[in-house]
Amino acid sequence: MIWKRYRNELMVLVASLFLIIGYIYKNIEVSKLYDTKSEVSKSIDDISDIVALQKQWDGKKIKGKLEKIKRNISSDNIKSFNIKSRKMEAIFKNLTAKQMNRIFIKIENLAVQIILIKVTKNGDTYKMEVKSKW
Amino acid sequence: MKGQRDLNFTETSRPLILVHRGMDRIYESGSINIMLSPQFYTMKREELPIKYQYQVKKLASSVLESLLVDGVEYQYYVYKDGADWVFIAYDPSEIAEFLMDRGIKIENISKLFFAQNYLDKFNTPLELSPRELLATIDSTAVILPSSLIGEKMTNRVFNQKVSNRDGITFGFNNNSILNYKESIIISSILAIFAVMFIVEGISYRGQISSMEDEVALLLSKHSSLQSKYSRDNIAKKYRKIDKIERAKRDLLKDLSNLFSKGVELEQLSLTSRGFSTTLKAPNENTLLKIKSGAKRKGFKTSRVDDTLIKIEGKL
Repeated sequence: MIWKRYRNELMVLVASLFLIIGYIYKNIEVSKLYDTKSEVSKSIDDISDIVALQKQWDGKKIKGKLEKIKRNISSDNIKSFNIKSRKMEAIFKNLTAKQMNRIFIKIENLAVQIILIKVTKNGDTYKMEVKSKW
Repeated sequence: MKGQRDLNFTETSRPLILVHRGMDRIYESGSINIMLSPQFYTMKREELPIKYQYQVKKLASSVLESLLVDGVEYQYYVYKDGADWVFIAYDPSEIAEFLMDRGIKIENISKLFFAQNYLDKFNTPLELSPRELLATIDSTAVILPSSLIGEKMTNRVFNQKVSNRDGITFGFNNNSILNYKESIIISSILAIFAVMFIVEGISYRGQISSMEDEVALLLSKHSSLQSKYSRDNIAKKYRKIDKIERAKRDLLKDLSNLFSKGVELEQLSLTSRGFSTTLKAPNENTLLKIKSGAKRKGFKTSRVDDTLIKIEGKL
């Protein structure tokens, strides 16, 4: 049989194949490692990002903070103030520039989506309409 | 128990062919071992104060020098027999030629044995042919004419039992580029590298699974983010909100920067698409300042009258 005649070479050939297989296996694992590293890093970044964004824009305490605005304004200045299913619609009237400015800052600093802010001046006072959701 | 064979890992199960000049042509296609009769080797016994076989083997050519033919490439085999070292020289080419002539394929030969190493087999002379016997005389295997010993004193059955340990690799494969030793060394080096690569690969695999575990642990804390699809959708939704809302707040900040002493807000409308506002300036200079400030921010401006300016912009 011919393989017996070349058994020394065959032995080296088998060892070479083993080496090649080992090398390919290692390279596949290296490539997988790089892919996994980048995927894992992206996943961790995404998750952290999403969690941070969710925490910011899906705040559970928004309703309470908006109600605080209502409490801090005299009822004479509130034409309407409704909070319903994560939406707020409010109309303020007869506001001084200072009061209007304070409401502005509070809304601006809350993590709500501003749908509308409308301000009109009537004489020395302001009428302000705010629509937001979260 | 009948038919049951004893397990003996040193004993070889391959057929053992006794090679002698008078042998007939044989037809063995499988793997075989061969035992050389004294016709194919030169032997000398020496008492030497040397302990190791590899050291003795180096002396083989000089010990046997006077008995060998010049110009022949001999190979040597040595073994210890009691207090003596036994030196054997054989000519692989001559043996190969003879075996091929007798129908034995070189590549079928597994191990090579010497009759000298198995003297017990020939204590009772073994009949090689009607004219020749293989016998043990003075601890040496020799070929004798049959006429010297009576027929009743001879043995016709060759005991094929040999131990693998005593055999040597048949090293006259002329087709091989590499000899056995070289190929073992090269193969071992290659195999070591292969094992190193595999071990390295396995360690990378371990790192991959620990990283995957890390992500799985993180995801288990946020079950709604388990699938990449839902993660992407949630991220898209919140990034969009974040971008728009930040833009609105930046816009309000830019507008507030347009205010200076005496400037009043007349009207403001801010939606998700953009804004429009009207400001009242106390004098022309302030109005021009507001106008240039708004233009710097890329807003559209238009004068309503001498004191009022309308500013518009998109998100």
